[in-house]
Amino acid sequence: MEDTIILPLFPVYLVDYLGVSVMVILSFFALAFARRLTRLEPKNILWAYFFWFSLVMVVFSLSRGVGHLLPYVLRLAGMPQLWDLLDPYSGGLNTIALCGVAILTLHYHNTAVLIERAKVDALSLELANERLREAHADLSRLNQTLEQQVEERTLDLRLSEEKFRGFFEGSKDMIYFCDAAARICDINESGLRLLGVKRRQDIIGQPLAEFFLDRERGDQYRALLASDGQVKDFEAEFVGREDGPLYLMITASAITDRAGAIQGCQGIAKDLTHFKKMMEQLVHSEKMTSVGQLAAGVAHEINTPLGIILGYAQLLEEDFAEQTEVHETLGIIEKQAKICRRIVADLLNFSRQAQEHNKLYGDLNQCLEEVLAIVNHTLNMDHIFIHRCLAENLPGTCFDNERLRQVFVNLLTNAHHAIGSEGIIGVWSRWHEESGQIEIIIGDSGSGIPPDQLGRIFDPFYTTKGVGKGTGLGLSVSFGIIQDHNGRIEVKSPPLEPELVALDMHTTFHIFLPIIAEGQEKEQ
Amino acid sequence: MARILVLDDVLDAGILIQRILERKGHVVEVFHDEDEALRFTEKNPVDLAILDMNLRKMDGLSVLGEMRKALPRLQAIMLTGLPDVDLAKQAFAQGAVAYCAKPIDKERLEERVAEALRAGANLPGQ
Repeated sequence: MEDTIILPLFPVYLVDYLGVSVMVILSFFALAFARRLTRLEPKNILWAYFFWFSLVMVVFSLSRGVGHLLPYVLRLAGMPQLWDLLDPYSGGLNTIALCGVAILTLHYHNTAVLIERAKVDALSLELANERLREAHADLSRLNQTLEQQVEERTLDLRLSEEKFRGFFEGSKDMIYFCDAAARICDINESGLRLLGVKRRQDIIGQPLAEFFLDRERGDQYRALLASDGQVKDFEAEFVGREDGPLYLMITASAITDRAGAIQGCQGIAKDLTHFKKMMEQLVHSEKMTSVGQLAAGVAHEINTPLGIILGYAQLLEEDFAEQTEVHETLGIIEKQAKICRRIVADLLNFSRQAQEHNKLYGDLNQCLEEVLAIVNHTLNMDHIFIHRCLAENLPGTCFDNERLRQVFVNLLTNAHHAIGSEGIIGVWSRWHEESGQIEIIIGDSGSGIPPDQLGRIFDPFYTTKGVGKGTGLGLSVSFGIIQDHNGRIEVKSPPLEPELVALDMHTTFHIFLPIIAEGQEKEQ
Repeated sequence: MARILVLDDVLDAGILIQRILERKGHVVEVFHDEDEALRFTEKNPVDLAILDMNLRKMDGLSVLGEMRKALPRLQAIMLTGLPDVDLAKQAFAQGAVAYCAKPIDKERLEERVAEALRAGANLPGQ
């Protein structure tokens, strides 16, 4: 022991003692801090790691402290052998504590990795979630605009529908739709009215072709639609209401599918019946005027030479009164010249320039009776019965008695010719208070007038009678005379009124004369 | 017997009237030109003039007016191819006895002439 350098041990012990103490104290502080951290954020794994790490470090530092301090304490207490007994435990405890730290750190590492991964996952999940939220917001925004748009579009659509419905129903023209088989599938009110159909369901499904008066025209309409896809200003006559056919001008277009096959058609038809009638009347009246002027010119030119021929023939007749044969020959010349003169007079009459008009206030029934009295005998000879139905309330009016008698005689003569023998001639007079017109009807049970002749019978020189029987001027002259009275004359064959048909009337002439009050005739 | 003047732009028509009336014993002069007719009436007495309304240069009523200057008591019958109410009124206003549409019948002409001559005979101072 003497050889041994003896160094003072006290500082070593002091350092050892103090170091261990500081280590123990610091480890407790560390534990306390870690604990506070875990309290603050219990779920933070790093703080938990620090806590456990600090705890193990406390155990380690205590065990180290015991390992360093206890030998001195036991040596001082005089029981160093007791340390020998405890020393292995202290070493084991140290090792266990370090092992704990290692395990803890390793465990923390794994946990950290896991947590990190979880964090990444959570982050991406959060991002996805965020995107989802955004998408949802977008979607909901879109949904909202979509609803708004749908609402706006619906409103537009409704307004548009109302507009077209109004146009469809309010139109004065017929508007119709047909399906692929050319059957009517929709038609407006005007269409129903024009076609004389009361309920819409009565017409839906009926082929349009059935309404064409002329089937061929209907075929043409379909062919045009098929070839051109449209028809423009297509004029056709339709089966209309009771008062005759409808004259329509159709503009239509085919409805096709994507392949170009015809699915149906839509069209507008304008009613030109009234217009057409007026045009016909206008043309007729123009024709009458021009023919009248021509006739008057010719008649006037012929008048003078004719008068001279007649006059000289009469003179010669006187000269040859003794010579029978020459006298007879001259008589024939005179007779024929007189026939010519009558025709010329008719022509001048027709042109309404020949005679002065002499309208006087009177009773038309009386005028009719006078005429009937004259023709009665001739008619009786041919077994023709006169049915007369004269209105008792017929008001007086101003008329040219002589000329209206001429009209009635003309019409009665025509009726007589139409019957030949055995039949009925009907004569009516009526008072239409609402229109202020007198109507006179003269009808016959004769053969009737073919439709193609109806439009021409008032034309000058148009006659169906044999040569020499009529000049073809009777009705033209009558027409002129009635026009002169501001009236109109119409012919119906067959007549429309059931009353007239019931009496076996096949042709009726209707004269409409407005009432002309006394004193008013000068202005006419 | 009366002195009658006939004026018609168609000479044949005038001659026809002349023939008819000569048979009734009248003296008839026919003209188709109004100037010649007027010259005749200036120098010769005429009881009755039968005048066409439509002449080549003048109208019948003007001719009548001219003739009346020399022959104030002249009677007149007017003939027309185109009867017209207003012209007829004018003719009567100018003292024409008749206003007749052509062609005029033989009998009618004879009647009218007889009437006209009777009217002339009844004139005061005759």
